[in-house]
Amino acid sequence: MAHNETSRRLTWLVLGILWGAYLVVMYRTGALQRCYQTSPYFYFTGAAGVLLVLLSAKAALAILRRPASACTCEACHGAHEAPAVVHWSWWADAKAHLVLGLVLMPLMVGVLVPSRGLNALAALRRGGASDPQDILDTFRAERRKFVEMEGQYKKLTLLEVLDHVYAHGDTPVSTLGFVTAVDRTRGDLFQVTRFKMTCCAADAVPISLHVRWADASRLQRDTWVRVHGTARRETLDGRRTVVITAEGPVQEIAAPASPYM
Amino acid sequence: MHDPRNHHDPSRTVGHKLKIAGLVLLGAAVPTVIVLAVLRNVLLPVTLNPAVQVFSLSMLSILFEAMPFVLLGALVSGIIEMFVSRQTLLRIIPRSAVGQLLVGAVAGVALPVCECGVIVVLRRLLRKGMPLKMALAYLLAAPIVNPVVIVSTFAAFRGKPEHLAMPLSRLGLGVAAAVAIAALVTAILRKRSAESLLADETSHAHHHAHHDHDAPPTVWRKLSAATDHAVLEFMEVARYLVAGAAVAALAQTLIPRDALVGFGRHPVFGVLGMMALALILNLCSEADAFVAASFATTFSFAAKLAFLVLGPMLDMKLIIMYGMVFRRRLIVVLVPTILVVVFLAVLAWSYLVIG
Repeated sequence: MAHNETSRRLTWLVLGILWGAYLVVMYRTGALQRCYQTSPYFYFTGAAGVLLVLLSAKAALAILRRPASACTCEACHGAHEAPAVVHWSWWADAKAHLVLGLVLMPLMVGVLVPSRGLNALAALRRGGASDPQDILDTFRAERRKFVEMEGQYKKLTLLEVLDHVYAHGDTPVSTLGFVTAVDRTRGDLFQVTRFKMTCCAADAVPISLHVRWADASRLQRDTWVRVHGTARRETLDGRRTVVITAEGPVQEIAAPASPYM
Repeated sequence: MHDPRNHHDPSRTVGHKLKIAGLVLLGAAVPTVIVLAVLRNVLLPVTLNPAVQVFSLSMLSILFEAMPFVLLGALVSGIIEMFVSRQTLLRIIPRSAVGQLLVGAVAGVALPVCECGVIVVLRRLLRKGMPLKMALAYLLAAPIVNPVVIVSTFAAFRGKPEHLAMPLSRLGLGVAAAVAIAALVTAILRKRSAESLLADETSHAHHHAHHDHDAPPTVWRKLSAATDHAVLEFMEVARYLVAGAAVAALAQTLIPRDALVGFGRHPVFGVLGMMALALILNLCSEADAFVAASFATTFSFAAKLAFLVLGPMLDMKLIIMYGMVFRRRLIVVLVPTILVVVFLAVLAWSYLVIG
């Protein structure tokens, strides 16, 4: 029993080291930026990875030095005592392996699934703001933060653009984002989208703008594009909105390293 | 000549074990890396599918967002285990039921841990003998009264018409609803003993008395033992967290939000739609206010308030994590009680207080 308990705990601690190392690798390689905005949370996760490696290694060493039988602490024994009823061992084994597999699953997903950032399907599922008034309302409260972000995305000045369009009419603009919806019936209209993130990808909200371009039907969903054009107020399907009319070709570009606003 | 003392030399034993472990790891690492690299390429047509991308990103984000806080919760839990004796805890707990409910509901102010981390701390407090009604009030209110959440809610609604009303309503209604839910659930289950409502590993309080006596004497050794407990506890929580994050990510990938938010400003269905959204999004209470604020004029005040009060108390991930602490018979009472109380409280609050 004591031997089993020691190996069980060591297995979990090795998993702890693996999890911690995984977080650190994600942090160091920038892969974490697909899940996170660069915010305090980003650093918390990196720090949690380092702490997890250190604490797991320390606890594992303590167990190797002092086997479980020597530990009198209840948390090490009482909670994990073998049940009085004898269960089918194959089921206990299968359950233990399933739980191990479950905890390993995110690591496998992280290693095997190359992350490209949130895509058009996510934008479709989340709906989000495409009404310019909603976009204005959303950003108005966070103006300072948004302006700070301009340092990173010099071409993306959505709030200023929309403010300007509302106040002064036609405005020359330049923006980049990925293609979410191409209007096949009109043939010359598509939506360009960026996700606005507060903390992590789970809470990111898509912000979309309509773009008019003669060759819009050539564009594939999820392609990143750069658009130069003129933003003006229009009425589409009975709703007032802002449409950017592209001047010159819409350029296909590589996804930026940090794809969120 | 064979010296039997060598077998008992701990440093040699540890060194030997470490050497073997190192060799095994090195031996396993190379083939593992090769297999993973091949698999990654072979699976590309599947893994680049948009749905797989959304699922993996949502799951990993929810996990990464929660992990630092769960680790913090586990560390606090380890420190409580080693430094707060059962007797001390029972001494500071109020005798009256109302006192327990109220103190439980505001105890979260002292500890900036969100809903995932709170569960770990709660389990430890229950093991130490905290009464169930106080624990429930603490569990449900802590993610709302947490100072970081209060500040982030104010920040999210800054510059909007409801910039004061929304954060204050969230705080007031969150505490009131948590107290009401805790009182109702314990009243409904009053004939059941606490042990019959708590998961096996939570209801071991009676074993703990000896632990306080056996605890190592120095602060340093206590801290060291606390971190050992914390990391094992973290890994124990990890399985619930991963399962919860996977279910949440599946919901985010498959369920279109428009189906839930279609009711918009309808006074009742709008509230129900936003409650359903809170269940499916599984957002951290420190970030959910920004999502609620992004709905701007799409939803009524009551609907956004329902989203902000319900989210920290209940979502798909939390239901799975509650299974770590409570037995099913408590969860099947707790979940509908939360839903009904939050729904009615939000409607009453927005009708009577906000107008």
